[in-house]
Amino acid sequence: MATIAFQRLSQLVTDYVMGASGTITPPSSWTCALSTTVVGSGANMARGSVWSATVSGSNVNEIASTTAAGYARQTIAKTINQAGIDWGTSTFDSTFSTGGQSTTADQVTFGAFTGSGPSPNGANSWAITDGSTLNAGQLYFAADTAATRTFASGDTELVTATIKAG
Amino acid sequence: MPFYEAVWENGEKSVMEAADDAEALEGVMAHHQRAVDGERGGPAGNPANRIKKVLKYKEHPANFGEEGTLSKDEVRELLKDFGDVVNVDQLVATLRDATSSVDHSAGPHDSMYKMPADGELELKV
Repeated sequence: MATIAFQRLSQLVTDYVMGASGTITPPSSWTCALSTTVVGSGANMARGSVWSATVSGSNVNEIASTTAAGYARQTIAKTINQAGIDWGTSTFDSTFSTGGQSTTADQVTFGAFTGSGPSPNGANSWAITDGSTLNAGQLYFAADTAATRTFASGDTELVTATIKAG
Repeated sequence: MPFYEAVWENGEKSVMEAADDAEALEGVMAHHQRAVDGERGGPAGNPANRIKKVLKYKEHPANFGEEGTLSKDEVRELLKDFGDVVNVDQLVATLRDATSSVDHSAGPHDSMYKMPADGELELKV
């Protein structure tokens, strides 16, 4: 299952953490989105990918941009272990080459989907982003779903996001 | 289009965008019936949940505080909890949390958002 960390996430480390930038800052809340785009290994998403409704190059295309049919981005609060959906206590992996600090968000639920399902349909990945507007905002990191998810009326989809900073 | 927050019986919450109340109810009740019938909840095979309530909003409730701004009076109010010497990092965290859209005091069957709902759908369960 492929994963990718986008430029903005790296830039938060260099500019915000190291340089206390007042312009490159984390959003007030994170949101989780579903995309039809596969993360792949360089032929699909890229580190500099952006959200777009246009299926072209390394653009990341969100599901439901034409017909929502029950889809909306789901919020993950910028807190740790508070009530509500946020991030868990981080843990440390001391492995020299692949280690780092990681945290897992509480599970988010998409849906229930309605009617004939969203359009575009067929989620191939989830992404941590910001804002509620589809195909907009910054991309932070993404991962492929286990299989393409085609949604119909009554369906829900659960996503549990984990990030490891190595 | 309006947004809806589905509050599920197990405490999970999800935001939906639908054309109208009837469409939102159609999707929610279809999922609810799956829970009643013991069917799976989605293509990944997740279990279905019974619905507890559905709240309605004019916009996505995550938009609360999206601008990341506070009025001077709101900032002064938050500063009241600090002593004469203020830890800057704690101050920043407090100010940042004030613009979060999430209500950390919410119970399992309450909205998870600070944005007040514009209504609640009547469920026939």
